[in-house]
Amino acid sequence: MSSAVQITDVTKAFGDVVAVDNISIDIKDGEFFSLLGPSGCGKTTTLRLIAGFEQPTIGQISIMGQPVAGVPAYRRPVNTVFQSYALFPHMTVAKNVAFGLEMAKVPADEIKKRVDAALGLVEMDGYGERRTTQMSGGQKQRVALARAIVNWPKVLLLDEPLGALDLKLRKNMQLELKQIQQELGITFIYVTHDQEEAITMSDRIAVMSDGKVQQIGPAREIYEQPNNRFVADFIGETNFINGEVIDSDKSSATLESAGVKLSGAAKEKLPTGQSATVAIRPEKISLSLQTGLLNTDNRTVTLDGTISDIIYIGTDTRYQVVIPTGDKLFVRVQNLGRPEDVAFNKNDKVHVQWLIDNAQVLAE
Amino acid sequence: MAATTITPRNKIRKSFNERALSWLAIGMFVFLYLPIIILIVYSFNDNRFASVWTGFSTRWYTEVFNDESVRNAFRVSMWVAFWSTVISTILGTLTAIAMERFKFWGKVTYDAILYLPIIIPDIVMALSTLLFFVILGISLSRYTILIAHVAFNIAFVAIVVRARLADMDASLEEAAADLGANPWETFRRITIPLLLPGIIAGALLAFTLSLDDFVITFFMAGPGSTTLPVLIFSKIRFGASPEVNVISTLMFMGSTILVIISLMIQRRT
Ligand SMILES: Nc1ncnc2c1ncn2[C@@H]1O[C@H](COP(=O)(O)OP(=O)(O)O)[C@@H](O)[C@H]1O
Ligand SMILES: [Mg+2]
Repeated sequence: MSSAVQITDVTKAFGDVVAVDNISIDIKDGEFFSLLGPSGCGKTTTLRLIAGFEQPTIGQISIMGQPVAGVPAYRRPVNTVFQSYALFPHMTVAKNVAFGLEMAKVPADEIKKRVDAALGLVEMDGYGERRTTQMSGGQKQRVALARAIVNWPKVLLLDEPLGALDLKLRKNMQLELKQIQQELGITFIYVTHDQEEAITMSDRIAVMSDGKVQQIGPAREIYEQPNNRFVADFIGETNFINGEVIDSDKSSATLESAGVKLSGAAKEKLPTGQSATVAIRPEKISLSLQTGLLNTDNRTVTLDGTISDIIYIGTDTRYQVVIPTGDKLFVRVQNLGRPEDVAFNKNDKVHVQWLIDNAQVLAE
Repeated sequence: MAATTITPRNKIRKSFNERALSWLAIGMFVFLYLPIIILIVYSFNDNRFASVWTGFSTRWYTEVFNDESVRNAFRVSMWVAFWSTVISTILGTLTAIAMERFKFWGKVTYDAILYLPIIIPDIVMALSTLLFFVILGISLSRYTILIAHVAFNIAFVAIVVRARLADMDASLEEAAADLGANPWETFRRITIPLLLPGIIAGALLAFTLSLDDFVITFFMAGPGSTTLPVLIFSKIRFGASPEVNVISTLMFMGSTILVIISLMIQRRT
């Protein structure tokens, strides 16, 4: 697959503030790519660099293989769905959507056809003559989307397009956006601070913090095999146990923490004696009563634990378990039993187990 | 809760305060508008001495319309007001856009200087501009009046347009560029239409200020380039006449209509 957008060693500084710090991202043609990170991490700036509203301080950007340094925004083959929608208040919905085609000098009859088709695609048929000023957030969002996709851009940039919508509408729009993207085959570059949204919609995600890219990969890889503590912490819920590396090869490592040995997968060979962290997701841990049978093998980590807190949340129960290192782990157990079943009680002595492959040993 | 209950005494005091305030407001209106009403009434006075009422007549209106000096002053006033409005609206709008959208060296200083004409006393503006023309050896004419009017009108137009611009979402212009509009198309199709109410309000303000100006015009007026306010002043030196009342009444009507139009345009958007 060829590249839609290539960002190479790009830095953007506003005076003393480094908004984007030496990032390199290669976005494939037809991909649904998300930029995910907390507020202020440089997502919008990255999008504005691609759109041409900002120029990189250092580095280069190419769109469809063409370097775009010095190419003004109005000549770039990308369109943007703005966070604030930025609909033109002095024009009707149809005029808003037609604007890009008029600028491209598309014949009037074709404009009309394409505007109608675009409004149909976002389920806003019949709204063409309305003013945009009296519409709801969801409707404005649809018009903004139609106004962008009607131009058949090579790349569509979306800056937190669902940020202003309520939860239910947001979930619906997530599905619709994904459908539209697949239907049109356009590359989507999607900015969000919502990890769940990024995970459900994206082919690949770039996780950003402090202007830097922390990890790029498919959602599953980012969730299951985070590069570092920031990624593991930002995406989903994670337990961290700090320790010191006592043994490592290029794909695994063993830590010692308060005399307890903990093993997990590693992305590289870690030097012995370095401090590191084991990250383990709450749903990857299993609990069993110490009175019961215990299966152990060399692919699992088994620890003694004591249940210290129980929170019932419907689908699951969250247990807090104290392990011999002194750490408190969160464990999610699905409520598979009958309504009256209680798996564990407070202060129960339990075995805590996980597969070594499911734990990640992270440097830092 | 008890503290917020209105006791009868509070009620009485409140309504007393309200009544006093409304009387005060009425008093202010009378004070402001009674002289103008008297002026309008006396413009229909038959007597040649303005302050003695003898009967209703429109003969001074006929007289004014046939007076060549009045007609000439009217033409000069209109010419100056029209062209100073056109020129200062264009320059003031561009100035406002430059001040609001671009960063340039010395912007803060320029910002302060631009608004000076509004705070400087008219008489100082008038004297300094006169001095300027004298030093350059430019003889006074309707063109010197025009230049002086443009100078103060730019500031007013820029203020009005800039207020509108500050309210405008800058991402609208980016959205236009994003959709392929070059800077000129963006300016023509997005910036100008959205600024239009501000531009029109600024233009009407400039027109009114230009028509009404006396002090600066008085100093700039060369032979044969008298405007209406200057003419009124020169006539009144020979005693208040019904003719002066008529001209003033007409100017009052003209200004009022302009202000009403301006308010209606601003109300509608
Ligand atoms: N035009 C600008 N001038 C100065 N600082 C800016 C500008 N735009 C963004 N920044 C700064 O750059 C950082 C990244 O901002 P942004 O890209 O908007 O983050 P995000 O979209 O991830 O919330 C922030 O610290 C922000 O204050
Ligand atoms: Mg942002």
